[in-house]
Amino acid sequence: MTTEELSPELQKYVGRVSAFVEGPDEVNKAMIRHWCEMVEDANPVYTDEEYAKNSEYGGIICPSAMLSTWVYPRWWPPVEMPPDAGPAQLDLPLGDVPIPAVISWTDEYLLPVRPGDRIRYNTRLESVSPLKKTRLGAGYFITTTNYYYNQRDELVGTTQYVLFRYRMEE
Amino acid sequence: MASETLYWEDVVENSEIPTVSLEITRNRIVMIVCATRDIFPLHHDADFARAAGYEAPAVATAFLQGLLGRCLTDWTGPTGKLRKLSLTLNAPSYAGDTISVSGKVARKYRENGEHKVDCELAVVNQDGAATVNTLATVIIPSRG
Repeated sequence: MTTEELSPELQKYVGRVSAFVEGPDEVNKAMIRHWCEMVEDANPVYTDEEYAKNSEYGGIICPSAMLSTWVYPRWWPPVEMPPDAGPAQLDLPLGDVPIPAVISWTDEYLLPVRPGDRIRYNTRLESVSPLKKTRLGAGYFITTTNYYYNQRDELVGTTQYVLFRYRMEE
Repeated sequence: MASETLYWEDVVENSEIPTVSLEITRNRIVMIVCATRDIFPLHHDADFARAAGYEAPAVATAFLQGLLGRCLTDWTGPTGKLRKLSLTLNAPSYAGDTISVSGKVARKYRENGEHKVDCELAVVNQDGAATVNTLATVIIPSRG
């Protein structure tokens, strides 16, 4: 249920693209193995050197779903993000809607990602809904897309998130 | 081990994709935090999770993506490629849950010279609730 039109102030954020954020580590076999252990994934293209060498990839690749893992910020020492980096730039003046809920999360995987690759991403604000009331509360549906590139500036994949930022209502 | 090749010609629409299940033990919670790098306390700290209105620590979505990806490539074999994974998040998956991923083939088709299969999957907990619904596209080899 729409309660109002999107304000011109919010509209001007739509289409904004953040600065790039670099992943802290190059893609590596140790983190791939940790991921495979987590979900008990025995696919030999992820962890079996010999098999992978003879596969169409010519070597180890990482599980597709690791895309966001490669750009997760390091835990220590604290990361100083530039103000226009990553999602920070997309902080919207939405008022009192403190609770974020991820509604949907869509990945597209376009190219294999291999040990030695350096992954970076930027974020585009695709859309903001007018204020809506749902069973959770009143808030805004915010759609953003992360674009992930390797060191050759090839687009390796994308993630589109739909987030509902809301406040509870009586 | 997933080493048999699934060919596009052998895929039957509406057929089932074999189920994979995992128990989200405390050890696995630790493994998920380490492997996904997502250290947000909701994913591992029971006190934090309860204060935020959750029953228990709720796993990171990246873990569910990983399990969905595994379910699909266990089925296709290592020549299968995940092209698209679209998750609708209905409810959290909690520490202590046993979750299963299962689904079926929705459609097979050729597009841009690739042999594609669209799949509908769900993550279901021990109470039978579908916590995540998923649409996935995989690319698999053709015998042709």
